[in-house]
Amino acid sequence: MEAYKISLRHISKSFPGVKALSDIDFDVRPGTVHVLMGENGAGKSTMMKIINGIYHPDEGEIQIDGRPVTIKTPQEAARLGIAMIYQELYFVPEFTIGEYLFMAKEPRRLGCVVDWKKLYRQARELIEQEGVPYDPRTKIKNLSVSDIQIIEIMKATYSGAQIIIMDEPTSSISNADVDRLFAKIEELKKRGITILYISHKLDEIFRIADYITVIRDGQVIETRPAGEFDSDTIIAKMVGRPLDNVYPETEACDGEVCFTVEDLSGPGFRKADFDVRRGEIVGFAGLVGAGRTEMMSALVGLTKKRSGRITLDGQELELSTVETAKRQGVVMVSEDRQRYGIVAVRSVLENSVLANLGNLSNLGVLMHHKEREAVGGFIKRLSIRTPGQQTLMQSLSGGNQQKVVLSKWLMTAPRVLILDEPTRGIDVGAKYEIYCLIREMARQGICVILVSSELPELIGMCNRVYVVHEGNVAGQLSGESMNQENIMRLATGGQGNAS
Amino acid sequence: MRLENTLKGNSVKSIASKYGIYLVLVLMVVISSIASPNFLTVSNILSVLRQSSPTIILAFGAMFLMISGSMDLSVGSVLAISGIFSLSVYMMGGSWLGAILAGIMTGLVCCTLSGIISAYVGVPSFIVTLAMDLIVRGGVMLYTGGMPITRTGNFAAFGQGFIGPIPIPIVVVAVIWAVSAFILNHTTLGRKFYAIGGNAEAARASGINVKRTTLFAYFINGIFVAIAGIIFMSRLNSGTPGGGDGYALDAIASTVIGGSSLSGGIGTATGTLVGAIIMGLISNILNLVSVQSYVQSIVKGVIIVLAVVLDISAKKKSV
Repeated sequence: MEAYKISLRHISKSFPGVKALSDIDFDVRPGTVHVLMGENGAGKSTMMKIINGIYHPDEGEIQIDGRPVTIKTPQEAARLGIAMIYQELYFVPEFTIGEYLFMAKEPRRLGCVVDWKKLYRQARELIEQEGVPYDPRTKIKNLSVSDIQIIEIMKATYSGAQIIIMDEPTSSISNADVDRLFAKIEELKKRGITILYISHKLDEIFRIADYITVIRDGQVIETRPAGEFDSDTIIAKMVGRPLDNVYPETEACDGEVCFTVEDLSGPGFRKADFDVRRGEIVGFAGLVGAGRTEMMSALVGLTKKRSGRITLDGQELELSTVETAKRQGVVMVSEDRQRYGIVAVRSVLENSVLANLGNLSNLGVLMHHKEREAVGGFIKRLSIRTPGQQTLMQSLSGGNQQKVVLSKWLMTAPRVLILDEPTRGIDVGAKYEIYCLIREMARQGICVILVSSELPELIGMCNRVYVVHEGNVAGQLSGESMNQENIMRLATGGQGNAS
Repeated sequence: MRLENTLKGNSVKSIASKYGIYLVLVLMVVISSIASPNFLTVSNILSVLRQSSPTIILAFGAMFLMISGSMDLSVGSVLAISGIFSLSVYMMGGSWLGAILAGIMTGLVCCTLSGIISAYVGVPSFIVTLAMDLIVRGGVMLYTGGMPITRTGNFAAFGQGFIGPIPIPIVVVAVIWAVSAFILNHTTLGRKFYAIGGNAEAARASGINVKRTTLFAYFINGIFVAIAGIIFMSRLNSGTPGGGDGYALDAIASTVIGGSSLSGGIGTATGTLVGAIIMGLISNILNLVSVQSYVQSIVKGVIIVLAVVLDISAKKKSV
């Protein structure tokens, strides 16, 4: 019998109304990268949280190096050599790198006074060992997401972690940073550290995975060496059926130009000119920080524009607040779902109707039957998986939360729908559903603006793509010239063959 | 057998989490009735409710603010100044309508001012209302010269009067409870309170005017504080300038016992009512079994912590 670093035996876990995991058997070999794949709500995060001591299994047993263990808290998990790098990083923005690395383990004098000199010296040594160019006195808030991940990994290895869990670490970092992260993972593997890696991105997992486990509906479907899988079989196993297309068929758009933006300037962008035809899906590509989100925020009244003329069907729009933008039919699904998208402590119903209270009430009094009807309709239409309309948002998976946010805006009957990274952190099956919805919106004559950092998504979904570089619209691409090379050239400041 | 046990376990847990605070109330009533035979009499219950009606009403105001992510530490002083201005107007002209309007206007002005400074200028509500508390208490002391106003004529008719067999303050509490529940459950304003307290940024991104909505919460609070002030002074039949001292924290504690979240976005009218009644009962039963007042304060503090701990642990277990 082979020795396993960590094993789950017959693990089951239920939440009120949902069976999250049932009879999970899962084995990880030491010093391997083991990738866990599954749709939103399949139970991946629940499994990892059980290993990390945040949730406790109803039944079953966890074994580390063959010995049964109980893990009641993340601190106990840490003692057992388990560390978790979360999808949404829980960092402390005002701490310096040094303080953060040694949090709760500061070197002390006389048992209570922190020895800052020693702390920073140790931090510098540690950082030099890792060969990364940071000053230990830099504040965490000044680092990029990718830098923070590297710091988190350093913190984990320094604390003696033998098993590192990474929950979708690449969902919000650039391609170059992905390469850096993967190099780091290779290095950890050489040191004999075991990596559990959750991801939705099929193209990247094959670069690092030794083993892949697919789970669906809280059950392990299959575990195999990565070499025995390919993308199609994984997708098929994840969704339980073969998936023919990643993107729905592109449709030509011959509607007239109806949404135009001229000379738009504001914080982070200058003199943007672009237009969208009726029923067209127009993409916005660019590097992270190029100013796309800022541009879109100004269109929906979240930030103030400095100058510019915006017209819809020939009429000039006044978009100074979210309320006026909404009333004139311009709305946005934000890239930061937790911060701008959802009210986590309130119900699915309350979140769904939040932008549409005016239409669902009479003199300020809510019409509950209308609300329930509208929300029920969207739950069905977007196939939102929720136990009920009164379920709290925080208990839904990311993909289903995103669908609720989408239905919130669709309910306002928008004419211009701006989607900022709408599929970030969402699995393949739910992504396809969201793509189909976007397509359907366009077919109904809505002008769709799709901001995305995933080039295949832009190319697969859009009729045209504008590329933004350092706050300027660097060019637009369509048809044959809309390919990854041209987009990247424009995004990095080179000249494209604008069509 | 095993299945039966888990079913039973689950249902006990879910009942505890759903009705935790009601169970605390029932438990207190049972213990109190055993401790003192005088407790469970109609007259004692009515008198407890009448006595604690000002703090119950304050708790509803605190609830609206807490749900929307704010708080008001000035309600004790604002209660005093609203009640005393109301009384003064009554003594000048003898008109109930004028007196009540004057009181409510006073409460509204104070609380709206706090609301404007907090929501529009951006000073944290904790600081604004702490300052407001000092200013208003000073103002009411100056106005009265620190002396209670007596010979109030028929002003007591409101706080001591009855509608049928029910004391007027209890009727007022019932109305405020119903109005609060209606606002929270059935109006767009209520939804906006929950949204801005739950996640102000997401509410703003959904087109909700966060500042104006916050101001509305202060508005409602102002009206409630003033009503509490009028009842307070009228029930005592005297304009007591030091009245309401320490009530702000009682109101906040009642609201938290009633299940509202200090971080906003969560809370119900009925929970708040129960929380505030529990606070009132604690004082009453301690008086009935003649516990010394210094000890009362200690016992009260301990019970507040226990009630909230019970509620939190019941909620945790159900997850």
